[in-house]
Parts: sequence; C-alpha cells; structure tokens
Amino acid sequence: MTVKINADTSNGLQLESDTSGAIDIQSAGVTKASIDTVGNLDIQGRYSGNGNVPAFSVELTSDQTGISDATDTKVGFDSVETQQGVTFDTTNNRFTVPSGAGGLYYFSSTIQVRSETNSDLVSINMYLFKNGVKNQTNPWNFSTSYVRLFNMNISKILSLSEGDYIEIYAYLNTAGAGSSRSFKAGGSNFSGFKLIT
Amino acid sequence: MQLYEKIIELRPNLTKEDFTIDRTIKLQNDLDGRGDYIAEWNHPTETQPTDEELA
Repeated sequence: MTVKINADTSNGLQLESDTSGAIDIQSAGVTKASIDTVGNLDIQGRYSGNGNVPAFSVELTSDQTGISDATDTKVGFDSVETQQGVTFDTTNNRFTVPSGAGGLYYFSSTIQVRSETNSDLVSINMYLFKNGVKNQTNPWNFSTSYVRLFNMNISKILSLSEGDYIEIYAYLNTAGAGSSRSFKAGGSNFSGFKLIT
Repeated sequence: MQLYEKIIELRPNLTKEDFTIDRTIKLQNDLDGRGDYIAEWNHPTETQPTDEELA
C-alpha cells in the first residue's frame, strides 16, 4: 500500500491515505511516479532515485611511458579518484556496466600526450572503445607545425547494457625515430556516470 | 625494437603514412602483456609479416 495523490480526470484531486510511508503520484488513477520510504524516486522507470549512479573518476598518477610509435595504446588509469555503485577495473583498465545498471551513460576523458623531443608530435588520436570496438575518435594532424605536448578530449553519451565495457586508447605518431612518448600523469583522466535508465 | 620499426625493416616499401590516420595497417597494444600487435592489415600490395619474421 501507498499514499496516493491522484489527479482524476472527472473529480480532480483525490487523496488516499495509509501508514506505509510511501507515496504514489497518479494521473487518472495510473501511477506516474513513486517515492519509497528510503526516498528513492522512480518516474515511470525513466529515472531511478539513486541519483547518477554508477559513477566513477579515474586518473593517471604516474606517467605511462614507453608508448610505441604509430600504435593504438590503451590508457592504463592507475588510480581511482572516486566511485559509487561500480568498481573500476584498474587491471583491465575499463569501466564495465554492473549487473542491473544498464541505461544511458555520459563519459568524458582527457589524455595529455607528450614527446620528450620538441616539435615531434606529427599526428595524434584518441579513442573511446565500446566492447573492444572504436566508438568515438578525436584525431589531430599538426601538418608541418609539430608539437611536443597536447591535450585530447572525448565526451560521449552511450546507451549501455549490463556487461558492456568502455576503454580509452590513444595514438601518437612522432617525427623522430628515437622519440620517447608518454601519457602524462596529472593531465589524463576518465570519468563517467549513469544519466537515466 | 618496436613493432612499427620491425615492420618497416621487413617491408621497406611501407612508409609512415601506411600507419597514420587513414592507415591501411593498424597496430595496437591492450596493456594485457601481449605487447604491440597487428590489429588490422589492409595494405593493397604488401603482405603481412608472419610471426616468424617478427620474432
């Protein structure tokens, strides 16, 4: 049982009381939204009252060095800044949608890439992978004005199901054969959260 | 020697362009201990090096 607040199409406001502590908000006797005794809000299953959970934010706290030239390399986020409703997999470096948590998700990532040689980065790219397949890219080609340090960003809303996983990759093409390439700590992060069910 | 450099040495007709943005050859590293590997090889004339050649 719940307390019911009904906007009836014939009689207007109708109230039905009980002692459950839960509330249903109705239109013409049909429940459109519910609030349980904990305070969770459910609007016809479109919004779950636990807020935007799962949510996570991870980062690089040590430079990822030894990046090979002209190779799509996964970013190995080594530190969890914060997370709720999910345990970010720092072994496989991926976010995996937990059981029962499918829905629309928002993701954002910044990767700071660097060569140890001036004017060395010819072209770079960043990728968001969904289930091992490229879903979004952000390529940069510096033509004849090569750079040494650069920040790439990707943001994306995705519809995900339980078990789907998201990873971040980056690609560096350098002019010098002996270049030393890295993804930089302090400038590289990956975050995401659930928007709605 | 990195995989890219090995391939260039084995197939000297290839250039960096074959490995860049609109590439016909895609190298990848999944941080799973496997190291760099050839994820895609779609070059129209040059054949993909064998594991023996790359070893």
